[in-house]
Formats: sequence, C-alpha cells, structure tokens
Amino acid sequence: MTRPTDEQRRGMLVDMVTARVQAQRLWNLQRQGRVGTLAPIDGHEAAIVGAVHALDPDHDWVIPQYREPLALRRYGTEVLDRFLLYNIGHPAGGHLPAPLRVLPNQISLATQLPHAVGLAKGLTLQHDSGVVLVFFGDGSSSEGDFYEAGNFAGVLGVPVIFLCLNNQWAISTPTHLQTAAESFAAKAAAFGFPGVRVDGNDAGAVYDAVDTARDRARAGSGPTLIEATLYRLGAHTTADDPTRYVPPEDLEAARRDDPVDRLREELVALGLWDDAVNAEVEAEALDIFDDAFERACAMPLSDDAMLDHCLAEDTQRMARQRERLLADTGGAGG
Amino acid sequence: MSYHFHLPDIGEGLEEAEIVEWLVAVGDTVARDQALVEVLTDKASSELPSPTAGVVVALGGDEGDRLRVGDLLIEIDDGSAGDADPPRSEATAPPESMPAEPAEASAESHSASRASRPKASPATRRRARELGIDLAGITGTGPGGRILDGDLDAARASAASRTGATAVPAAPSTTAPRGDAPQLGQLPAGRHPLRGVRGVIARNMAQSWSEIPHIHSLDELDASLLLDLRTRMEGMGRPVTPLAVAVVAAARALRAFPQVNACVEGSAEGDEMLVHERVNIGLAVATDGGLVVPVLHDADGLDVFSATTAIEGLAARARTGDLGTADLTGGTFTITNYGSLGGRWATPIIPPGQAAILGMGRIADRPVAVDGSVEVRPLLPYAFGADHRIVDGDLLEAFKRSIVEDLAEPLRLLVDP
Repeated sequence: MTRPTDEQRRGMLVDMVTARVQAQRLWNLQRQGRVGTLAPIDGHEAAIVGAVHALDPDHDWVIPQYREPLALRRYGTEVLDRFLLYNIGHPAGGHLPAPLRVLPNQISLATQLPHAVGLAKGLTLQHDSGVVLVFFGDGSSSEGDFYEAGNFAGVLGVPVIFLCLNNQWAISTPTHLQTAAESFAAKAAAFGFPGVRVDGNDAGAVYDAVDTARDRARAGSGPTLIEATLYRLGAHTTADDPTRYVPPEDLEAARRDDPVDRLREELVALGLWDDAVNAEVEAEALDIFDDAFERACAMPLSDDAMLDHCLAEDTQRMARQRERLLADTGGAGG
Repeated sequence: MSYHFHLPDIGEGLEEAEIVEWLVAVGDTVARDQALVEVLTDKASSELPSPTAGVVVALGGDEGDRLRVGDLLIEIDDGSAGDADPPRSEATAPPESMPAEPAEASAESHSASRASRPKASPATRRRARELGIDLAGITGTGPGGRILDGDLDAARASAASRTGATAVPAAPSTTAPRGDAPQLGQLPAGRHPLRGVRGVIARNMAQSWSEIPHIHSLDELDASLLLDLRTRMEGMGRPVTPLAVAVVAAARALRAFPQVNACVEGSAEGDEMLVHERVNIGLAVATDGGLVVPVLHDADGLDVFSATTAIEGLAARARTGDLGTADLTGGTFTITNYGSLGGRWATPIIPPGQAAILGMGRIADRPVAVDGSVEVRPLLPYAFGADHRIVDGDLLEAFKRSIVEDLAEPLRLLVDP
C-alpha cells in the first residue's frame, strides 16, 4: 500500500482546484459561443489527478477519453494549450507533439482502448519501460472495443492500466441499465488479469491503486483494470440537461462527497491548506487558462490546416486534396 | 466601444432559443462571466454568462421573444475596439479597463424594472428552487433587500418549527374560490403570438383533443370523513389535504390497474399501448402565466403526509415560476382541481402521453338521501376522463371505484388494497 505523501497530496489538490475553476470558465466560454461542445469534469477530479500523480510523465503514457484534459496538468501546460485549441476547433488541438506522452481527445467511445493496448505493446517492443494509462467510462464498457482491448491486453500481457471512471451515468443511462455484472471491475476476470474497485472521490486511494498497477505492469506481470466509483456532478456535456433524469436527492448526496472538498478539508485539517492558498491557486489557474485561451485564439489557421495532422506525411491523394483546397479558397498553405 | 454578443449555438445544432428572463437591464454594469439571461432551447434552459465586463447598452429582445442563433443577444460597452458601434451618449462611455464587479452588487440597478420579483442571485434562486422555498415570502437581509443564502436557511428553519400552521394550496375547498387575478382575460385587440406557456398549452390541448377519444364518468362522493381527517390531523399539527389523499389514492389505483397508467404511441408497426413503469401524477395549477402541470414523480412512494408536503413545494415553485423541466415532464396521470376556481362539473382533457385524468370540483354541503331520510352532507363532485382507445367503461369504473372508496374513507389507505 502506497499512500501519497502530504506534499504529493498538496500537489494533487492544486491540480484538482485548478481543474475545477478552469472547467467553470470553459463552460462559460461555451455558453458564450466561443468554444464547442464539451464534457465537464466536475466530480472526476480526484480520480484523474490521483491516477496521473502515480505516473512518471517522462516515461508513462496517458490516453484520455474526453473529460480528462483539464486534470492532466502534471503532464505540463502544453496539454491545456492543445486542449483549448481542440475546443475552438483548431486542428492543431488534435496533435500533442513529442515529448508529450499524452494522446488527443477521443470522442468515438472506447476506441482509445485498443489504441492503448497497441501502444503498450509497442513500448515493450522498443524496450521502453513506460506504462500506458487509459481512461474510459462506464458506458464505454459496453462497447465491443472494450472487450477486444481487454482480451488482447490479457493475452499479450502488455503494460497497460485500464481506468474506468464509473460516474454512474452514460449520458442518461444509469449503471443498473448498463451492466448486470456486480461491478465494472469484475469484468477483468474474463480477461485474466486483476480488477479492482476504488473510491474515485479519494485521490489517495486512486493513486495507490494506479501505483500498484504500475508496479505490476513494469514488472512484466501485465494489465490491471481499475474501476473508480464517483458521481458525475455536472451535465454529461454542454448539450445535455441532466435535471431531466438525475434524481435531485442523488445529486445532493453526491455533492456532499465532492472530491475536491474532501481533499481540501483533509489538508486544511493538517494545516497544509487555507482560504488564502485556495484563492491564490484559483486565481493562478484562471490566469494560466486565460493566457492559454488567448494564445489558442491567436494561433494562425491556414485553409488546409485540417489536413495537417492526419498522417506524418501527406499521401499523394492528400497532397492533391491540399492543392485543390488551397486553389478553391485562394489561401496560403500552412 | 461595444461587444456584440450574438446568440450562440449552446447545444448541438440548435437554431433558436427563447428569452425566458433577462437578469440584467440596459445601463447595468456587468462583470465578466456574470449571468446575463436565461434562455430556453428545445433541449434545456440555460443561463448565458457575459463574455466581457462593461455596461449593458442594448438588449436584443424582450422576454418571450425567440431569437435565432447568430442574432444579436446583447450589446455591452466594454471599452474595447470592437465591431461597428451604434451612436450612444457619452454618459455610458466606460473607463478603459472596467473593474470586474461582483454580480451581487451590479444586479441591483435593474430593480426598478423588475420590482415585483424578489431580489436574489441566480445561485440563491436555484437553491431556493431546490429547497422548495418561495422567495416571495422571504425578507432579504442583503443590500437593498437582496435575499441571501442565509435568509433561505432562516426561512427553512422557521418553516420547520411552524408545523401545521401552513396554508394548504390547491386543495378542494369548501370556502369561496380564490380571487381572480386582475389581469385575467385582459388583452388588447389584435394578434398575439401563441408562445411560451400559452403556446405549449395550445399545442398539447389541440393534440389531445384531436387524437384522444374521451369518455367521462361524473359523480359525487360524501366527503365527511375526508374533511374530518383534515380537521383532526390539523389539530395534531400534521396537515393533510384532500388533494394529497387523492394523489395517494390515485397512485395506488394506477398500480392496481396498470393499463390506466399508460398511453397510445405511434410506432413503425402501427399504434402501440405503452404502459408506464413509474407512477407520476401531474397536478394542474392555474398560474398568472397560464395553466401548468407540475409532476409528483413516483407518487406511489408517497403517503398522505409526504404528498401534502410535496404538493405544497410544487405549488410554491409554480407560483414563483421556478419549476424546472424535470418538474413539468414525465406525468403518467393528471389530477385537475377546478374546485379551487369554484367549479362543480367539468369534462377535463387528458394530457398527451396519458390515458386518464381526474377532475375534482368544489366540496359543498348538499342534500343526500341517507337511510331513507334527507341529510346535508359535504359532497365532492368529481369527473374521470379516459382514453377510450385503451380504457373501456368497465375498467374506468373499477379504477374510479378504487379512488372514490379511498377518498370517502381515507382510513382505507392504511390497509393493503
């Protein structure tokens, strides 16, 4: 059992508070028509931050689904920059350049899971000691890709950690309509590797579970499926009205166990956090966010930018498309 | 210079939205991210926050107007070198950099235009909604009488200690009907768009009237024991309303006869009978804005006490216009209490998506034959309406009998059916 140190927990809380306030600002930008549809992070902060704090950003890979990027601060400010480019619809947002070990957002449910297994297999072939952590949701676990990825991962014994953020809702489908299994973690039995269930509102518990899974992966013992149970405190996306289906009493109960509040109260009790620190962290988070958003909006956008990050090099057909596109728009290439 | 905030597509592929409520007025100073307006799209109701800090120069529409995505929503003078600018007086020219003011302070300036509405921040309003507290009954302790979160807590505490003394809304009444609102029926000659609540009522009623073949069954029941229950429970500080008894009785009848808790739905293979899983009872409530039907979800889980409390909360939110989408959708059966308006007989229309409705008239003393002699008893006139496509007379009468027997002898609700 590896509990994070107080200093690590403080670092986690900085990232969680940052994600929370930046998410609110991002939501506002969407309501102001300045970014596209997005999925709020509220309620997922402890699970995501706790998990990535158990990783080594220089070696280990993170594959997000679409709700996670604001909580990946541990991987550097470039992640936020690229995420905001993605949110304003700039194709450069779909490219996270080396040495960043983070893949872009994935909207097609569960397709990131086979990617993770392939990436992990590639690392072993390259004798790279990194492990791959991939996020997905309770709804994604019903996709065929989940079972294919889990099966290959088990058979190949690759260094991958499947982290299911079970937030109780797949848009409006509650978990009891999602699976008849006892838990999502229980599905690991079919793949032949361990499945564990942790309190996703406890950043330290998630850290511990990921740390153990990472040790296992690095020792060559293969994958782990972790189910972090939590509650989606916001809407599924900006196009969703959860008041139509989330029982208010359930939401209120979940709010009483808000993961950010929980860690904050623990650290306040230890004398490691107070209102002044909180205000400072929030203000800095918003400054960082506003700067990044300004940079994103100022990013040049060539008429053929949509073709820039599809493949490392243009195929002949893409080159022809690029030429025709630029001829049609009269624009300059990127 | 001005920032022109155009109505954004806040869903996925929205074309238009209705302005439900302006939270700011022309001349107000607004902070960045301060809520400006509540809009209703076909998906949800949302607050749109200000993209900038500045002074409101113009609003793009009135409450109730529908704007298309891309239409000007609001113009805010933010001192920036923004896009083309209409002429305006120098008095509104803001300093180069507008200090961000908290929403609490700036929203006061529009109190004049909305004097009838209690002052409170959107967050406090939301919380009051969640708690079922009517802001109209609260004295605010904030600046300018603004209602703060603490005031809600105080109101809640005092309500908790004031058991039994609460006025019961929308209950079948032996007293005079409520006074008519002064604006009832008042409209100038001319054409008026059917929009907002009026538009929804118009569409629903036309659909029901044209699609559902109604049958009605009307009768009266002796409400002596029902009124006796109310009086005696009131004496114990545990208020129970006849309407709440009707809700509980109806819920158990709907469970006993699921075919009534149903509706007809078209599908590719032709019409189908959809039997609802949950029992959600809508209560028709007259408001100044028109008829609304808030829904008591899972009414089969309520007893007469919790039903009384839940009805009170819904009625309070209906009066203040604070009902959310969840409050207004999902009904599987409806009770309409035209007795509160003074009515005795009516043949109510079944809402779309349902198969039956119960109408309750005004309880009044009337002569009845009891054991061969004429006695005066309080009688509750009622009307059941049903969709004859799926409910025949025998089922309607059995369903009706179950509810009527429970209303005539509420103690039956203590006994398993």
